[in-house]
Amino acid sequence: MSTITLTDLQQKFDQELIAATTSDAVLALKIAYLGKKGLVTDAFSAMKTLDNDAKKAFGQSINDLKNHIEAKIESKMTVLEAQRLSEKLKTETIDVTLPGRDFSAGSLHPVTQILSRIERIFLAMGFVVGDGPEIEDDYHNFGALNFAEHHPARLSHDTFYFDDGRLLRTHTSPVQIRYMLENKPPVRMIAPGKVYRCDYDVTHSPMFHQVEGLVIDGETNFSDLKGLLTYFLKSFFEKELKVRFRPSYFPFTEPSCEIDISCVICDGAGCRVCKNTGWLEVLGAGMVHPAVLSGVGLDPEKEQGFAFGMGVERLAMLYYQIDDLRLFFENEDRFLKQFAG
Amino acid sequence: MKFSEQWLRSWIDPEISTEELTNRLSLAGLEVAGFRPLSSRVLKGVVVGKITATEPHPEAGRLSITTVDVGDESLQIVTNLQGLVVGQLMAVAKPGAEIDDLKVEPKTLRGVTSYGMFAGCDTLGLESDTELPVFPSSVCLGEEVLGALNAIDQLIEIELTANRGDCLSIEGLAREVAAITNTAYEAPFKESELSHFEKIDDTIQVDADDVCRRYHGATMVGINADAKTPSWMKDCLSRSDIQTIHPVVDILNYVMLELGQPMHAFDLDKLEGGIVVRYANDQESLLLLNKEKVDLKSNTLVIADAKKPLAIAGVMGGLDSGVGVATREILIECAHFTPEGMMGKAREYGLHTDASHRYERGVDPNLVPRALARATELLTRITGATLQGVGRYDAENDFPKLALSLRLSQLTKWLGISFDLATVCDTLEYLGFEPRGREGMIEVSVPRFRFDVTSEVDLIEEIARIYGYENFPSTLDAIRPDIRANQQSISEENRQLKSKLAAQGLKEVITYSFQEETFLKDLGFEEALRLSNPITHEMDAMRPSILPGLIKTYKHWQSHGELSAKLFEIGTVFLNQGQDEVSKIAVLLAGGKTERSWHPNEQTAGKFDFYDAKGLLDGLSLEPLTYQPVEHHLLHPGRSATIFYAGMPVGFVGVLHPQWVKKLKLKETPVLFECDREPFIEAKRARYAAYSKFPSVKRDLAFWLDQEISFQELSNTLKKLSLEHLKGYTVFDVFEDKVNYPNKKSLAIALIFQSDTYTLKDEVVDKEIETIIDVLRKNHCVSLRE
Repeated sequence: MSTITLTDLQQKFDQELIAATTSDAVLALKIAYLGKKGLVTDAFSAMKTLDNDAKKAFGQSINDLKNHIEAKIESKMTVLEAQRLSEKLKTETIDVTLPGRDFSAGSLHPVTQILSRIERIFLAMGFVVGDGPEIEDDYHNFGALNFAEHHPARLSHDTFYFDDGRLLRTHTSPVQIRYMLENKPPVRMIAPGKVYRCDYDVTHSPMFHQVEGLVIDGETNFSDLKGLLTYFLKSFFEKELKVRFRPSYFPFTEPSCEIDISCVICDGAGCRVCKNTGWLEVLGAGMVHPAVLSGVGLDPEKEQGFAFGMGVERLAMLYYQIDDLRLFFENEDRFLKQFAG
Repeated sequence: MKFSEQWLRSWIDPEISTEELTNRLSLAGLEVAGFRPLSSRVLKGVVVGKITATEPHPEAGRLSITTVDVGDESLQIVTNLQGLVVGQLMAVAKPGAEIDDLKVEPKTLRGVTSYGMFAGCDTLGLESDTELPVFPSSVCLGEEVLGALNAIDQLIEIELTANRGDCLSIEGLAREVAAITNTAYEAPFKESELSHFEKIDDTIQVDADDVCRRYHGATMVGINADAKTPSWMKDCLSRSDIQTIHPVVDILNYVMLELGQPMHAFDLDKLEGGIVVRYANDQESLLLLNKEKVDLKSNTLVIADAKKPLAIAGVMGGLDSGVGVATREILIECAHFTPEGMMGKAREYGLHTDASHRYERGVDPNLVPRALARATELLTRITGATLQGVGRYDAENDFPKLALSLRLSQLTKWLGISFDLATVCDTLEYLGFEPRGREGMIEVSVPRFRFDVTSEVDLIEEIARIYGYENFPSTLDAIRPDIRANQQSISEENRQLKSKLAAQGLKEVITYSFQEETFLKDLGFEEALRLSNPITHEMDAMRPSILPGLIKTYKHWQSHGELSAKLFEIGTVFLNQGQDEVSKIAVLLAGGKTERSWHPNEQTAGKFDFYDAKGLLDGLSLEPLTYQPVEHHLLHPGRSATIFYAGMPVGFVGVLHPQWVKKLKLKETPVLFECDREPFIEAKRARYAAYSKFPSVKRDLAFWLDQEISFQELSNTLKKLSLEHLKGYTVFDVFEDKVNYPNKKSLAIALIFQSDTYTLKDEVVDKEIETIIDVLRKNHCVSLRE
């Protein structure tokens, strides 16, 4: 029998544990008490000399002591580990206000973003997206669209020509013709694309983008035109705009109209953008002229519908409040990065 | 067309304000570009006064003291105006008068009090050649000046569409106003006729009756040398921005504005023989009224006498035969030329005149006798001239009107709402048509001034615009779901590709489709398609590649300090003289890969090189791409490759040739590629394939080999082996040791082995590794690195 009791042993351990301030010291303590030659293991040997009842009671006590030591060591280790970690982390502090490493996304050109916006609305209304060539012939760009030779309406298009008589399309309307020649009604189609006019100043670019639209379906009428385009404009600007339809003239539609919206900048009160009129012209449209329909082999008594066209840069300027058309094709970083969103 | 509201209201005067009138004109398709009061100022208490006495100011030589009768009182006004005489009518701002924000108060000038001031045209906000307003003698003293000057008026400007030539006159506008307000209009003068003058055919000979359908000429003599254009006529002309020139010319211009018929006056003294309407001969030239001498083209219709051309028909008269101060006898031309015959003619000479503008859009042939009668009546009254005779050429006896039918059912089908017969007939009648309705059908006789109305749908438009587009319902019946709307469009494919590129940090640009031909040639692009009429030489050829535009954009970026750029564009290029339009994707990477970093380990983050561009291509492509070295005029000969997709060349990638970098003064060397879209968009619908559940084994191999052997060659060898368990390999190290291993390079590759059906044992992998080493030794003389 050793000279100290289990109670003394526990007290001794408790004191030594308090003194142990590193995990190494605690581990050494664990070995000193619970190791193969540890103090608690030693105490077990004293058990042999006891009678059965005493042996049982002693066994219970020594197990309690062992559990006590194990629990104490574990909790001490946890505390020490937490202390160590917190001290280590203190040394790892960085300046979180320094700039992050360059990981910036690029950007899509505002014209691309506006085109997506337009296409999304029409796709949801059952339209397909078509396309056509940028170099056109006279037939598709003018003739099939009911432009008479030398007509002032044709002259107003300021066309770029090539020596062989081909031309750069002045509008996306030739896609109407190509689409109707290849697809039977019902037709619901929009055609985005580049168009070209021989005109260059603050408000004109020799290259710009249009979206053409065409609906040919049985008895689709002028009231349907009004409804659909009004819906489109409200949807595009996400606003209950006022929409005004004004008679106009395009050789390939009849009746023709120009469509104004209440100014999105001043809500119609009058400002620089709407030239104090409260209105902004944004679309041209009309019922497809019977001559155009019969020209592509459709019977205007049986099939009818409407067409429309819009300038993409115009809509982009209003949507993003861009005040100079030329910015679109200068492609400056200071311009492009504003549309990274 | 710009005109005086007062003038229009002398024809038709509906009880609506200017705002309402202009708004309704716009909504009927005659777009009002704007309107403004004739006087730019707001005037109050500025009245007509008469000078009754004037004496010099005793203290100041330049001032005079006047006494002015303003009707109900006499005012003493001190003025610095010179040359005023007793009896002169003046615009007087009385004490308390207001001119815009200025309030007029009595004021003492060098000891004498001035009760008000005189107002010049400038102060009154009127444009005039004279400093002081000139009043008609009929005015009352004390009357407000603008009223006395007949200057309470609005100037309205309408932008007419090309189809509405019939509205290029006050009468045409009056007709529109009649239709939109349901009120009849009436000419403010008595119509006269010249039919009592016998027809003198022999003075007029028409050799081109395909274009000249009517030519009437009135001979007038005895023009009074002192004749003056009356002020009411001057007002009408100046408010339409037409200068007053000579009473005869002014009268003809006035009638053109009033009725729409262009006319011309020849000085009879200058004519040799009668009028001939014919095409010009070769070698003929003509000095025009604008003092320009033009060589006439043989397809140009001219008005000539027996010896020489006098005018370009329907465009402009000649200077020599025109009316001048000495003119006493004239021949007035009033003719009809067809729009088909006149279209584009003025433009051929770089001209655009009031006459050509109207003739190209169509002038009513029935207007010829009416306008001539109106003009001769005015000429007689104003210039004292006497009408001597009228020569007439008429290609037709009468000019019949087109007959059309309008079905009410078609009106409803086209517009979506129904109309009653009476309303439709009324509208048509106001517009000058002659409708006869019966049971759902209207027979319509079309007036000759409506060149734009040739079919039923033209009549439908007339009804729609006068009814008012705003009054139609808005229906959503044109919307239908369609499974085709879910099909991938080119536009959608491009957008997905663009989004991927943007996600990689690239910025999308859109450059012009035209480039400068010399710049393209400088860069080695031959035979770009040239425009016949470029807007500037900097945009004279269609781009055969997007890259020149990207390079220019980069140079522009560099000019304001941006040296690091990641740009892309997707767009059309024009190949084979524009016969082929191909959609391409082009990328330019230049400068530092990232912004300059503060981080100590990343001071030099590296600049873009060939492998960045290649990595981007591989990352975007849905199927593997292969590359072969190539020489391209734009690129560094040792750092450029052709891109192959499915065995076909689809583009090129490389470093911009140092000679262009130097020539364009670029501070960084860009890496570029241009490629077809196919490798990036031809995605087959994904199909799931089961993958191996057993662990893979990775082994590294490093060896020396000859500098010239490309990785592609090694790769082909490995592929040919078709080893059962070799799933893939990547290069993780390349270096040279010129001292110990000249002309060699070291390559380290990581090989991945895996089985689909069991866990690989080392022996199996070892065996395949041995095979690999053997074949690389044998085929490429590699030596393993220890």
